[in-house]
Amino acid sequence: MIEFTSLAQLIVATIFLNNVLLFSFLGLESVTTVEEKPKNALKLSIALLFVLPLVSVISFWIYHNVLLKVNDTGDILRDVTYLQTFVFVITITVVVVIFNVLIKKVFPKLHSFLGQQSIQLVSNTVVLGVLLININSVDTLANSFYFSVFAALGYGLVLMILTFIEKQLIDAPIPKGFKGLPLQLIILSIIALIFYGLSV
Amino acid sequence: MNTIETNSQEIKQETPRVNHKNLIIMSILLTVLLLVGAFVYTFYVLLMGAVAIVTALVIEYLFARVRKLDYGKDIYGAFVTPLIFTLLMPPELPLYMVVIGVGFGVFMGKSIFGGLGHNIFNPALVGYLFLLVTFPVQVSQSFIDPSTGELLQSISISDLTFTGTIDHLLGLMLGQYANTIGSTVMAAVWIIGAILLFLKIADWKIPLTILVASAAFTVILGRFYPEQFHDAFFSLFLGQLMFAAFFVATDPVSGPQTTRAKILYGIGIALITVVIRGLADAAEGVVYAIIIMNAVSPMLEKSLKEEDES
Repeated sequence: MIEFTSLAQLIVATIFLNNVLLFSFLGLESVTTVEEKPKNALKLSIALLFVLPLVSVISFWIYHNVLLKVNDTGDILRDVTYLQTFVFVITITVVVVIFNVLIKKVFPKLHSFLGQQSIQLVSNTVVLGVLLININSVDTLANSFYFSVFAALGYGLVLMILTFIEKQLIDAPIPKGFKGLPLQLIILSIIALIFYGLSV
Repeated sequence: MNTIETNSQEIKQETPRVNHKNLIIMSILLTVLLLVGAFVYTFYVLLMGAVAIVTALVIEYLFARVRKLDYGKDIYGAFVTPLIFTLLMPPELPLYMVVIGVGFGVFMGKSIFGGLGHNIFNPALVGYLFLLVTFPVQVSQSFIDPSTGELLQSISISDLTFTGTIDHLLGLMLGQYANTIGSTVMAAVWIIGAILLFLKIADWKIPLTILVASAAFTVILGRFYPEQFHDAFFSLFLGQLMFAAFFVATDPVSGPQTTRAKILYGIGIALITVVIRGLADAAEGVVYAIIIMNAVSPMLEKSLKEEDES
């Protein structure tokens, strides 16, 4: 079990100071697809919270046991890690599809609530991006689980904040050239500036 | 051409969060505070304020010119942002940095969002934040000791010497300790803040919640981390907390409007301020706290309103 202080550090670092949306620019395409509707952002975040830890743990296991095999003395017996992107994309697709089928059978209400948002995760870069950060920076299976949970929380939080801000700006006389994506990116950059200023 | 005309009409009609009379009074009161700052420090402070106002006016004018808008009375709003920005700055900041900070704040924090009454973040804080990231050394180290006139490296925010004596309190009230321009003379901040609350320009709920909650959080966190948190009462007078609670957090445009959202907003600012002060590397947390809560405040307001309706 991970210690409390290091867990707190991990939470702050992953949700705020190294937020995947703000500092790795992952999942930006969902910023445009949620369309100023906080409910869509909430659905996407909940789906992500279910899927991301699942994919993360599975892909972490695949990476360390299938793609890369190391014996007790540290010699590399097998190294096919150049296949990682390919394998991870297949893993994401399989897990997301199985997740959708499962919740349709077991929790039909949740499935109808999430709607299209959960199947759209297949094409969301935040999933693949978190997996790739995961295998490079995290050392144990439990840590990869924690990391992916907090990454999903941080992503969902920023997405929710952004959609609420956009909802408030719906009547604002924004200059034509800045409407839509440019203003979204400026809002995101101001939020990123806060946490950047804190971590410097 | 039609669209532009309708746009300008919209600006005149739909600025529900803005009261032009309040903006004028606010500008005058902030100017008084700037004069107090100039009295304690040098007249260079007034020059900083003037440069900031000119920069803001030029940017607003250019923006209105390019978009072919008629600002009308909204131009009064152009004075508040540079004044707050100057009051948050240390007294020895080079003038070109003032220009950069105010310019970035007004352009990126206000004009792009549709001008007065529509900005999500407080423009002065956006400029402050940009300046803090771009020139961290100058912004956090250009302080002057008011009694001796020496250049100081930092404000004494977590100084252990502040332990509840009357002398220290009087010193803080009369501006004998180095601080940013606006918050050096704590007595002036109190008097002008009280005028703001009395004239109902600012809502009393937000400053009260911030001050009470930050004292409470300092006491609670002091139990767990006795080395980082000291005197809860004195922590209210240090740094920019008091100034920001009265003048920056009460901004009706970037803050929430409903009562419950206001209280949560104040508690959030207090919690983030206290945590950043004690546990993070940054010197003063209140600016970060307010701008974080600015980002969250649409969420607070909308989600609480939905609960009320249903």
